[in-house]
Amino acid sequence: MKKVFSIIALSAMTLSLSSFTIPIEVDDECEEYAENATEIEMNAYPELYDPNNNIDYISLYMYWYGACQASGGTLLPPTVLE
Amino acid sequence: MIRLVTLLLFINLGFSQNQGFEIKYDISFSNGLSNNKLKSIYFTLLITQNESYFYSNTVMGIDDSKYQRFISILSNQFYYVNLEEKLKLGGIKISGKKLLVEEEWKKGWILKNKFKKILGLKCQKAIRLLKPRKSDETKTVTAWFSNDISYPFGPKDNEGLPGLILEYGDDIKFTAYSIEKKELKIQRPLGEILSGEELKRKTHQLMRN
Repeated sequence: MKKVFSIIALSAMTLSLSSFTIPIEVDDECEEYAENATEIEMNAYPELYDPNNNIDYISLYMYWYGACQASGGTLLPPTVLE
Repeated sequence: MIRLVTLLLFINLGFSQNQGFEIKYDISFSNGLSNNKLKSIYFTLLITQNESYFYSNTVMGIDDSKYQRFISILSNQFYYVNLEEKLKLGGIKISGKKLLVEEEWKKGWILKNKFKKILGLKCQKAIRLLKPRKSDETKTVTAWFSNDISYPFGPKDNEGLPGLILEYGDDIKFTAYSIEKKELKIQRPLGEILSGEELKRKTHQLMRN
């Protein structure tokens, strides 16, 4: 049962990320995008990014914020769960 | 390129204040991702009895895979631990500036009765439970440490075991390939120590400039 929930959760995350398209108009949108992507990745890979580690959080946040700004209007990060 | 594995054995007696070790770690990936791009990547841990400093020797470009994203992110980080002062700092470089933040100590190591040799040193297995912030699913991570070097440090921000961690991780694995005994004076990173929120604010300022 737990496995089924895990698969559903992973599928949902993949879908939400795959369809995550945002217009890049203001910083606020990229901030929100980066926060969401960071939370998802930290939850998916606690063995890589310690949930309590401030530097891991801000590093991932910077990564996704930069990627969002550079995407020119659309950003699809499905590889977050690869 | 074949890396020369250098292991200078040591005598665990008569350490001066500055006596320490420089450990170099390789990184490998469980999915068999080609290391062609990553061969030049290694990480350095400097340790004395009281302090440690961990940093990357490589700067990677942005890539889409989770593995290279991890390397890319780690290449911008550094960690400093001072046991006497009970201080553990994480640091990040942004626009040429170093930002520092206090990090939590690692807790909950579980020692296992399993042993293997790494670089000729007897190592014991330990695991630690990892609890994601927004999930009930618990994962574990493995470390192999050696009591022969009884300094409680390891790669990235890992500390708290009775000896030096020579191998850390499962999916992505840090493995020591060189240990060199040397006179060291570890410099505490300079800069204001920020809270988590301040770090985020400051990061934004720097990224927008």
